[in-house]
Amino acid sequence: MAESILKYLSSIFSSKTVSAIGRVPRTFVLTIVLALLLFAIAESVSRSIVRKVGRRWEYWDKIAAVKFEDYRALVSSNAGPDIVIIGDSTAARDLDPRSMATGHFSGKEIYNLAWPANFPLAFRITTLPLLREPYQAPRIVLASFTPGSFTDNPRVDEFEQEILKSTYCQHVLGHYSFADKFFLPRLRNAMPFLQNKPDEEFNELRKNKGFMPSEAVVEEYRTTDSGTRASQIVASRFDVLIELADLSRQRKFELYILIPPVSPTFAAPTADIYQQYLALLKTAQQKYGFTILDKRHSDFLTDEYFTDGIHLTRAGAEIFSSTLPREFQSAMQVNR
Amino acid sequence: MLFNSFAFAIFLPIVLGGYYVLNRRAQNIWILLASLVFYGWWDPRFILLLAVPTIIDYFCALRIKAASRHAMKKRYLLVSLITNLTILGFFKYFNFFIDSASRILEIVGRPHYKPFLYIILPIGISFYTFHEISYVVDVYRDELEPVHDLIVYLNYVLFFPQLVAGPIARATQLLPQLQRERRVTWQNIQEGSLLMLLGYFKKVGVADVLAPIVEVRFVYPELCKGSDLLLALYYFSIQIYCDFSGYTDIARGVSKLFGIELQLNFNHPYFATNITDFWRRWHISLSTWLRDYLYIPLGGNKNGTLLTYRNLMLTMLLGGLWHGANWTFVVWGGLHGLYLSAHKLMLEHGRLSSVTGKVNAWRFLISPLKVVLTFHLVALTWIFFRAGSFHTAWLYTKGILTWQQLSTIPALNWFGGRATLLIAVLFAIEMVQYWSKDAAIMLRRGWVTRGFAYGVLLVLIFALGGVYSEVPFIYFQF
Repeated sequence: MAESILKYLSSIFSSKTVSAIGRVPRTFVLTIVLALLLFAIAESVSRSIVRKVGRRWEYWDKIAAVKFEDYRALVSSNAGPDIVIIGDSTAARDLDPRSMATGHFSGKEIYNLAWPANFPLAFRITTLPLLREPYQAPRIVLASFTPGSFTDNPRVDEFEQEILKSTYCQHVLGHYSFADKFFLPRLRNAMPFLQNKPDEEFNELRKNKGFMPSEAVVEEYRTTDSGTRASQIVASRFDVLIELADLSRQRKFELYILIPPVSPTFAAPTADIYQQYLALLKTAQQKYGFTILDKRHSDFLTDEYFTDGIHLTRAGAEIFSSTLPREFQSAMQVNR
Repeated sequence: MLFNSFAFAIFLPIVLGGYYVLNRRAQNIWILLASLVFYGWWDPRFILLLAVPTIIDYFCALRIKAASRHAMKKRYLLVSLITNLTILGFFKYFNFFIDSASRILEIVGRPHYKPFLYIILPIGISFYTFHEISYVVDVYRDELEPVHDLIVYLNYVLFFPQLVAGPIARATQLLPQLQRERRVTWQNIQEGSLLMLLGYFKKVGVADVLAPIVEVRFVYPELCKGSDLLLALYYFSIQIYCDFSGYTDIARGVSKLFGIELQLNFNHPYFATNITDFWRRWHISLSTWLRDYLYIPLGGNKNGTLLTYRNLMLTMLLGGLWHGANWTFVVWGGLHGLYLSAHKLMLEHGRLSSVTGKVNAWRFLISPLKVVLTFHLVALTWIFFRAGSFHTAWLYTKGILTWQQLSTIPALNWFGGRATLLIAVLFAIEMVQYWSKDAAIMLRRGWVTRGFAYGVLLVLIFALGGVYSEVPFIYFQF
């Protein structure tokens, strides 16, 4: 038996290839050693540098890193804001915490944690975890999403994927790659946080408490939809709002869901999706008890206050935000 | 399995380790098993689909050789061609043809029900179909003895480094290597490693970095500045070169580790001084395949001027369609056909040679200008290659021509950022290889220079490249 196994093995194995290869040339070994040494030096330097920036290198955008990690630092040390604004660009670009901190909200700490294209499936990964344990819960959460972000719209999906593909989201989802074993790939994203003088954009964001006003005006999109329109709100996306509403009950924060304003000429083409969104919100409201702030039609917001169909100019955002405390006050009175 | 995946980093050493301790016959079986795992990694069902034409071609070639009558040979050739082209036609072009036919019916006022099938495109189907056709046609032409050893034949089709994106190996070149005892030397290993390193630098270091920049601008050209669209077009020209030639470099490098030589597929195409020269340098295995199995059988340049131009145009149009089931690819091929015809016409009428003759003294100035002009002519065709539709291609072209000023997508920095640095390193490597006419010039340098260069490339790949994303190679879709 053993003999036949040996015979069989000798019939398939051969030392010819290895013999032909012969001894490793010394110069080849030296070349590889030098190359690996250089790599190892670069990797060690990266390790010592990158450790200082925490998780900020993981984000899809350096401004996002500042926004989300600043908030994480605040709520980790129980110094979190009273009111947090969350959602997509309709929150990030249209809601100015400084303009909101008047009247009923005077003296309150407000932070805008929203991010453009942070549509429901991305929001679930980027934002919801920061509202959960072990982080400090805010008193009030104001969420704003464009109703179209709850549909299976290819453009929504595309923008959302830009965020979901980021290392940050992949790590939250528990997906780690071969590259995670190294620190060199992190160096590039970490660079903006290593400079002695903070980036001007970081200062601007911090000064604005996370508010990111729109600068560009896209005339043609004031009246027409900028993406391929989908007609139905899908449950897989709307469920994210249900998760948020459920979380509000668990963590005992007041939840306000804002239906953002649209330009007057943009209202008609998006009326159907708005009606669906409102109906779904009302149904969920009965179970979870959050407040709907329907600001879709705001008379004072004429076309010139919009950069496109759904985003306000800086002036529009400031005016709109300054009216919100009164809306909250009335809503609170109704709730009581 | 992708070359730029962690799975491949585990797969290759195992396969190589086994290969080095086996004898020739067992090596062939080992490579075959490895190739099946490599291809089946995407979807094991693809293997079955690949097996059907492969086995048919194997027997057709044997029957062609055995047949005494020419008519019989022709019959077996037809069986093989129909099998290969039917499978390719169905999986790649069914919906395209149905869609095109429906549009024509709509135009003539006869709209009808349009069937649409969700067909998964098997990876590399265009490559292995051409691969197999060339084998059977070569046997039919008596230019090649059919191979009797099925394992050797299967390895010819399935050899994993070249299976999914070429080079489209010729049987006359690859089969003898699979039939004889292969010799692996340190020279092979050093050359192979260098090629792999350069390939990974092109793919992960350059192409994958440019990919997202290009992507968004080709999807939303109406939201970008004209200058950005132009830069993104240059970037795409570099991306597709690095993606595809990077794949080929890795494929050739891996093959060398097995003691097998694959055909050179790219020879600094963007240094071409005219469009004919470009096609002698770009995707060489495809352009020579099209020449030998399409252009020449159509008559080549043997039947008068008009038919020569017709053959040239037909070859390039079909070459365009080979890339993808979309009319934009046909236009891409058509533009190249027009360029080649125009260049041929100018050469035949002596215009170019007289001009070149007069300015020979200024050659050092004229040559770079010709390189720049050729690059721009080629870049223009990439708009149709990359854009998903004519509408997008039009918006893109219009954006550049009108030097569009609107920009909602952040503007690009022309002379900064990692893309510029990586392209500069790539350009330096290409220049050194081009001027020295030696792709492996680095091996001719001392170990300090080599070690330093390899180390820098490794650091660049990891520090600046797209190592976080295992981006598939563009040509896998073709």
